[in-house]
Amino acid sequence: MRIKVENLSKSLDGKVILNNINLKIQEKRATCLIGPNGAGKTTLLRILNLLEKPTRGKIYYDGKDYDEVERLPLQRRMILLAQEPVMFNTSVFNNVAYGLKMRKKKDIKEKVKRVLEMVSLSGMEDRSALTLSGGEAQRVALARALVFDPEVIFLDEPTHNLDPISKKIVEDLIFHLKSESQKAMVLSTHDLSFAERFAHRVHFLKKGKIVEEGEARRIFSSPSSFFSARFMGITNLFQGKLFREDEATFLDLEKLRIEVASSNQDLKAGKNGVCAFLRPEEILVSTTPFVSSARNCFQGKITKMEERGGLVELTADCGISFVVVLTKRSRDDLNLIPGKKVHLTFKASAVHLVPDNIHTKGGECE
Amino acid sequence: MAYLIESLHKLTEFASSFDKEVLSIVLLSFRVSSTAVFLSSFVSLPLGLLLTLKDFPGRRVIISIVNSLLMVPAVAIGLIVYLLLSRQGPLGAVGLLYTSWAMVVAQALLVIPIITSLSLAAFQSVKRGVRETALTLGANLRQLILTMFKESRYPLLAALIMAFARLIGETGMTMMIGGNIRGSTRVMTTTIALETMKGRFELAIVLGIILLVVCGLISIPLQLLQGAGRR
Repeated sequence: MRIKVENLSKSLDGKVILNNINLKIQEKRATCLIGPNGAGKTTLLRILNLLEKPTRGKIYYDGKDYDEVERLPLQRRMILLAQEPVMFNTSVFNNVAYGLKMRKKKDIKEKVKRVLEMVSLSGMEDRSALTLSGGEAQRVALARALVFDPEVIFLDEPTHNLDPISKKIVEDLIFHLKSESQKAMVLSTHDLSFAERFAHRVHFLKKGKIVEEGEARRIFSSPSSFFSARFMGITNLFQGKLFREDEATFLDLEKLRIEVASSNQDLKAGKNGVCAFLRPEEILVSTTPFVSSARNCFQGKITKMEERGGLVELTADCGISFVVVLTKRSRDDLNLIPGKKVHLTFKASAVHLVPDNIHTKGGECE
Repeated sequence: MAYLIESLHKLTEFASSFDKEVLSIVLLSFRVSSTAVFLSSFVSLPLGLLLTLKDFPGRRVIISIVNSLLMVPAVAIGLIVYLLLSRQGPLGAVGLLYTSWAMVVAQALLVIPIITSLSLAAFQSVKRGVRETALTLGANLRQLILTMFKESRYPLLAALIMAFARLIGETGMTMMIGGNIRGSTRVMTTTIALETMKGRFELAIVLGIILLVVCGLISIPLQLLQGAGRR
């Protein structure tokens, strides 16, 4: 085991930020911290990376107490990638080489070149790092972290705010690292689907407490993960019964049938009722029926539209209500307004199924 | 108007046979003020850095003191240094009064609060994230300090230039401490003051022009640096 956290708490100005956290981080394993904003994910990562001190509790690295070893050698074995990458006011090369220079390593030029290739930024060495786009900066930050081969990598919402191309590159790289290296990786996110694909182990944080934890595979199919999904504010939660017809599986929501991708196990458990959730980003909106491989296509009427940050949250009634997230541009291009008829399309595999164990009403879970 | 034309006429004569005295006055001005900036930065920059990096009890008090010292008039510093260095003063035995080193000391004292305050602002302009990025990338204290200097290089250099510009134009205090002794402690500003009072305008005008040119030239890199810092 790399890192062991025991009864860790952190308060600041009388406010409890972390409350009695117990955690184990292992080599070659990917750990995900999931939780809404303000759950304490960032603080926990910062404490693990020695940027902040806990109020109470112990942390052990390879069995040695954080408090009893020298800061510098310990800190040099790990790296924290902040949510907003910070670039030094110098060239990309100097930014990436920073960790190597601090450690007085050799072959800096070679290593920087290789790692820049990994993040698809070859030839950018001489560019001023302050002129990079957000996505490029995040990739440089990742290169800067990987170049000195740390044992533990902490990633604080690494794909947050990235453009789709950078997001893909960063995600691919994170997956590559996970499969190739001996490193322990700890990643915080509120992207559930990413966590599901990435993590070996998952910890749900809420208001500074770990409310649920376990092997990712179990968490994402276990009953209580539904609760976790709900507390994260996931919309489009449905309850119904599964049945099979024409070699396909459907979720019967009384007013609507949704095709789902399911295993036999799901089917057995789902005869008596399952809950399903569908991320708002997974639904496509069109004004005409949309022909695609996606199995679910429903017609409905827009009942509500709200701007949330740079995005628009749209509610459409197709017998039951679906919440969809889209960009302002998409809204304007399709000229979407409340009352307008729209078609919603999503894949069967976008519907996450979990056994029903919470109180439900009608076709929509509370 | 006649005296002005007269002066300008003499000025051309004067400039053509460029005076050794003028040169030595200009050089002394530069030497005294740049030495003062150099020496005071050894106090001010570490202090500015310390006040940025460490949160210790009394930190706010020190910052308040530094800021109020900015208000102290130069002539008051001149008086204090004079009293310290005069024959009867506690440091009278060193015999510094009316030497260029006494001027350096007084000028350095004058700009220590200025450089401290400006460098504090410069270091604080380096975001907390930069410091933490340096730490998480494995910087030790020395490397962290070096990074802080590199990151704030533009506003820091601007601070030093502004301090130098303040000193090169300082008159009253420098006159009190240096005594404006010909060939020894006469700098541009004190000479201009003296020659003007004597009614010998040509030397005053030559030095005045040089002073204006110097200040003008200084402001160019200053503008550039401040622009670069803002980017």
